[in-house]
Amino acid sequence: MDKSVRISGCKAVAEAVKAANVDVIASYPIRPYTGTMVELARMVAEGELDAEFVYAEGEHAQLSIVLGASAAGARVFTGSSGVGVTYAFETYSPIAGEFHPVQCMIGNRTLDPPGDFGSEHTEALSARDQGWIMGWAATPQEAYDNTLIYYRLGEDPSIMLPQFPCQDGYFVTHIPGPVVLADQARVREFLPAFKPARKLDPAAPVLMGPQCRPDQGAAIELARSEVMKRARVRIPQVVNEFNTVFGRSYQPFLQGYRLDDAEMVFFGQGAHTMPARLAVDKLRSQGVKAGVVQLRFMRPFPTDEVTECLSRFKVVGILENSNSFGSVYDAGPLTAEVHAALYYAEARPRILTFLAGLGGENIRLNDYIEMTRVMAEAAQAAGLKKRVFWVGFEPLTIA
Amino acid sequence: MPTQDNLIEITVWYRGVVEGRLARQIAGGLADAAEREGKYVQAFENYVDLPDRVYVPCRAYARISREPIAEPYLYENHNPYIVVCTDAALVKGCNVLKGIEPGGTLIVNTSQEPETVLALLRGLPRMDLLSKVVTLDAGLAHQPYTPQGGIEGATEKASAMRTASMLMGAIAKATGVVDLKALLSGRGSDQAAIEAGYHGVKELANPEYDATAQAEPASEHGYRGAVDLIIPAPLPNTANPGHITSNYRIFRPVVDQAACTACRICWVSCPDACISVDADKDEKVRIELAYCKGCGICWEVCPRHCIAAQDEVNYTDGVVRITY
Amino acid sequence: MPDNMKWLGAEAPTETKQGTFERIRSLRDAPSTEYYVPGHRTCAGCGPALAYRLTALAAGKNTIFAGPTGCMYVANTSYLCGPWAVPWMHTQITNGGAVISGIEAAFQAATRKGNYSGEFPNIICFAGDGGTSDIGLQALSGCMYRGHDVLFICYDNESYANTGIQTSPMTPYGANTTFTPPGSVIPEGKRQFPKDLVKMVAAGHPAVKYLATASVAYPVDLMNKVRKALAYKGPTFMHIHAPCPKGWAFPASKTIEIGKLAIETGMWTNYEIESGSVRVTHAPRKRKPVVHYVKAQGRFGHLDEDMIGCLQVFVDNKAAELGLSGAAGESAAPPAEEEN
Repeated sequence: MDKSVRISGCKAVAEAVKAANVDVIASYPIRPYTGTMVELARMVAEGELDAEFVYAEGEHAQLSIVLGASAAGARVFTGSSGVGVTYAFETYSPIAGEFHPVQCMIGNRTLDPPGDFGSEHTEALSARDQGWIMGWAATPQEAYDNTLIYYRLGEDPSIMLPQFPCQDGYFVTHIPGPVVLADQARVREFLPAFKPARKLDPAAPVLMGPQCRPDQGAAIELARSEVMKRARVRIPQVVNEFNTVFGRSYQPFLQGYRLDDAEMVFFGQGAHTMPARLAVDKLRSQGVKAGVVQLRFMRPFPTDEVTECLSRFKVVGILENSNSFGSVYDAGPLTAEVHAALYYAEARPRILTFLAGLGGENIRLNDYIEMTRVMAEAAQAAGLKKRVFWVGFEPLTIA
Repeated sequence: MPTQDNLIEITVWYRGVVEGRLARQIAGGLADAAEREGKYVQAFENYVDLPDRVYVPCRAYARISREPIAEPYLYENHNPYIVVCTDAALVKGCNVLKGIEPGGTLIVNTSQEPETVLALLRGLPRMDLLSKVVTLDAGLAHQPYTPQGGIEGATEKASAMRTASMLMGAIAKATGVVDLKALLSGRGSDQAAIEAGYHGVKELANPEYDATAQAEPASEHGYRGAVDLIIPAPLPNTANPGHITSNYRIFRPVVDQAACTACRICWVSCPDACISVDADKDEKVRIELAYCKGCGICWEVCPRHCIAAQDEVNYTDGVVRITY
Repeated sequence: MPDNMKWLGAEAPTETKQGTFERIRSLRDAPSTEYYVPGHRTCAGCGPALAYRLTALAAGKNTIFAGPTGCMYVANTSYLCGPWAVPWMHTQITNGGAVISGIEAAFQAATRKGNYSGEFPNIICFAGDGGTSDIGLQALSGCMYRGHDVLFICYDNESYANTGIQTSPMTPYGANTTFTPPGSVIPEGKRQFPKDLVKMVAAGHPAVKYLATASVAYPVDLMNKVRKALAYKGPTFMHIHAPCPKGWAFPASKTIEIGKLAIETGMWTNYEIESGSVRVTHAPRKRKPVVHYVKAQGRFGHLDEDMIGCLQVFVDNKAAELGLSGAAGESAAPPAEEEN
């Protein structure tokens, strides 16, 4: 029987991990993802989940432990936040490049500095080029669902990639929301047991990860690129299957809200796209044709879908929850990737970037209203004298 | 063909760790001399051969050109005109003629005659491109007195080695790649040794040399197959075919089977598991020559001194030549 | 047991169970199936390669190795190949202890959940001194602390050798490495004395029931210690002295001789610790002066009398810690166990 509950994103992930019957969990505490591990520890201690719960000595060790366990054929789970994510950085390329489908939840948190407990996407995005599947949940339900979708996708024998399912610290990790916990039969139907073709087993010895030469390295990099492309093809298949089995209606890559006749849209990932929807409802009631495009996968980045979708609108306002300090237009990764996706579009919208919510600050309802107003200005203006705004620090006007 | 005209590539084959300095001085000394003559030069170690290991065949390179060197980052000298070997067993174990330029020269540091070296080359492809074999007896130059080997981008303070100087002189005489004057004028050079090498060479024209023969064009890129980072393990009691190590050998262990008591001390001391012992056989101790590195542990530890070290070059077989 | 050993291992926990193992009595009945086969780009005369071979001989078929980056990774797998006839995986130099923890956890879970029905495998991390005592120390400690059923072996060639010989915490006082070259300002080269690995692991990790030092110069002892360590349930630790012709600058044929000289001078002692009790397995009745060890290796070529004197004091203190007398010139110490 499905069960409807009201739980935090942290607990939702723990429930999904339990449903997935993982074998090895590596924990280490750091705010705000710790709650997931607390839940899992209780589940293991009380016999609800049969798994090895290994309390690692640090985040780098967490990732190393689950790497070893995955290589030995176990379904594994770990997670971190903030500087924990960057501390483990060394392990990301080996895990992805040697094709171990480790799942590492990220409960987003600012790096040091500012180091406050609020959510930024910075720490996760700093690892975006390491070859992992990466995307954001905007609600506890999405967090639960993404856990299962990512295992299925990552463990696909033709893919075998690790995954970073992300969720905003506090907004999603801590504030409870409605979640339907699936009946175990449903989960089993969607997510088979993990049975890798090759693993560490004395009965069939293999050597994993030998040294190679510079001329051999190129072929490895190409193969990694091809696998990520294959993941992009597989995602719609997996998401559609998930929808069928679990009764959801996820778009694989871009979840649109009130896009039909929209002229201006917010483009972002994760929690902030939810209040954005509510702001859009308010704006719509005033006759403003606004909408929201929620990006569900940062990696693989759905270039074609982004090109096709965003080129329909007059203005795109990027909710940029991370700063790249000196990158193109002095904005963040979303700005760079959206511009690149739209460069060859038949119709190119005007693009504004809103550095908002950094440090974990709230983006208020009024902020969305004001952002929409400046997007409307941008739609009418002859040229854009200003395109990048720090919300709450400067007037939102392009004049 | 080399990547540009007027580019002379010099490859120095040497034994890892124990001859790193020797190889660097030869390659570097020739390059320095050429630079004093107003040419464009490079001298460096083969990056992929580092970290070097004791006795493993390694390569150092010099490149000399009348024009700026257009492809300075190539990992190898793909078309050496001059090939130098610091001992004759390297000729036996490595494809020293790989990519050799038409009319190229092989210079070997050995007390053996050039005819012996020529015989060791037998079976190598493109013998028709090699114009001559040159030998010089510059002596052994193994100096394990400080941790050494590849310097990995750092600098090295060392006075001129006699063996290196002699070989530079020999190379200058045999090929004319640099003038003797240019070699002698280097600061800190061992002029007597250079002269001794210059005047001490023995040259032998290669009867198979064909002055009209052309080299094959080199491919632009190297390995292009798929690479799997999960590979099958070898079977127990077999060997790893991916790295055959017989070409490390300068000396090979030869067992006096009659004196041997099959105590197994050699067997247990071999880091490369190249020894099998069977007290019931006539050949009580069998050395796996395809992999034996000639480290000498076995002849050191044998309590009855049954194992002798014999010059590998005295044998025509026993080494699996690696193409590198 | 000497007074200063009291800190080693408190009461033996009740769960301790010494496993049985097949003791090798002599070279003639040593195992002969090679699981570390010929064909690796290690130095001629490589001590660590010999240590690997002996460990693999002793451990046998039901073994999984994890190899942190270092000589025993790069040299062994150049290129895209390897000499292990048992499963092996590469780890970062930082995390050998963590990766074997994960492998072990996977087999625990799989066994319990009915997904694996084989005999629980030997899980061995084979790490260099850098990957054990320095950058890998944290992962080693976490693994030993948590009580995983694994064996962590440090092959100690007393430097970061794979990168061209740089100092590690196990490099002896007075050694020339490319990061501790002797010069007018620092005439001794290496100023610090090494960490004491076995002491560190034994003192702080109550789950570890068995620790041992061994040497490639005493192969039967080494193989028996590997087997004994593997027979224990829970984490065990071995520290193997593995002379290095490249890093220590001695002729490749002298690896075993240098290993023996280390024991004869007291620069290395073979001993084991079982549930807190220390047993010396190899020590000379009368130690040779350490100058004999120093003169045999180029890495000590710059040492003067005073510096050699420092090294002698260090060696004498280490011996005293282990309850050994036998300094050069003194009378008998505990008899050495001859196993060859």
